[in-house]
Amino acid sequence: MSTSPMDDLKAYAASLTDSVSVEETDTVVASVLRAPRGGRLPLKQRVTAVGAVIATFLSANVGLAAAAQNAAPGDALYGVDRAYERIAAFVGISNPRAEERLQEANVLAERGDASAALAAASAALDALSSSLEDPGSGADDQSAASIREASSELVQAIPQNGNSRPEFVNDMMAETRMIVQLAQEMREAAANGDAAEAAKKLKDQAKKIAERAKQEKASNADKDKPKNNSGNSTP
Amino acid sequence: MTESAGDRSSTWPPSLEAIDQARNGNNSALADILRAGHPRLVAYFSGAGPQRADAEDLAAHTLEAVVTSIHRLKNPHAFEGWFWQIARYSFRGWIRKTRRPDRFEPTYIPERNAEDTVELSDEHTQIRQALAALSPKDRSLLWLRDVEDLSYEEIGGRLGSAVGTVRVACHRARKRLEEAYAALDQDA
Repeated sequence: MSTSPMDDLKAYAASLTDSVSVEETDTVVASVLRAPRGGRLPLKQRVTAVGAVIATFLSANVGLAAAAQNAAPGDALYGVDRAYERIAAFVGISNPRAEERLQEANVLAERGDASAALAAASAALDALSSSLEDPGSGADDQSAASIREASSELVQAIPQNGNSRPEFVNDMMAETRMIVQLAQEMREAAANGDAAEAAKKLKDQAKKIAERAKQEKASNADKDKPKNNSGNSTP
Repeated sequence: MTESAGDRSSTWPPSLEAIDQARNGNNSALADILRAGHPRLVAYFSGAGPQRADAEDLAAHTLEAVVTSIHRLKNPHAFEGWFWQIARYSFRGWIRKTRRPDRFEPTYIPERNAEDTVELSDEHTQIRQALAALSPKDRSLLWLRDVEDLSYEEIGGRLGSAVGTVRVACHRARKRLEEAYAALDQDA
């Protein structure tokens, strides 16, 4: 008989342990190893796997975004380009970029797609007016309103048959480039605390574009008018 | 000759290499650990109170939890504390589920053959009766400390108990066991 309760306890434990047969243990172990495991990879492997996925995702997206960067409307990657811009704007790391729309307009103009170039220029103006909502832009309400009006007039200056005059398109490209540049100057002036003069130039430029577009629209309207051919009258 | 659990005791506690392999998905290493741990779990639960059938169920449940979560074990050195923590959680869950404190009597006596049964019955009746005088918590603490040789840190660390608290609780449990054991000796 054991003299100490601790010795007795250990002997009792040993007898309990010995009473478990190998067959019983093997059956239980085989059973639990077959049980579905909802587990995850070890932390180290998880970090590696997640890192690899992120790296792949980033490299693929960065590459795709870079490839799509200079895409213009009509290009296969143009949708991708705009999608990245929207995502960037949504997460707050970017605003609609007038410069990029302007670049697209230039590409389209060089390709001879005059109407698409004007539409892109109009989009550039829209993007510009949106960016002027930033309190730091130095723009007043009238600046943004003038630019929106210019954008509207520019779209309306596209003839119904889509055949915009190359001269007009080239003029508009130059004027749009000018207004984007003026907006940038206005931002810099605002940073220095005096954007009033730059804002005025911006409004004047917007009005100039709007006026020029109105004239073109009127010109297009004249061309589209059915010619009053008296010889067509019924004899 | 049939292999007994005693022959497997040399594989417990598992080596750090085996634990590392098991937590990294090596099924063979994991199976070896489970084989070595299973009889010890059955003994622990039997000694803590549940009947043999319940102890076997609890051991299987604990092993299942080990299989599904060993990949989350960050430090192989912490294996024993982690393993027995799962066992204690299983036991506590069983207590809550059964709500039968009267079933905690450690009544099981291993029966290997007729001669052993008488001898073991004689030897272990006293310790079983002494254990029965303790709370399930005391039995569990004594088992982990004095049978499984877990450190106070291993027993208390994962349960959020201070080492000093565990040390005092083990000391008191041991004292209560000795008192109960001595009282039975006097009665005999």
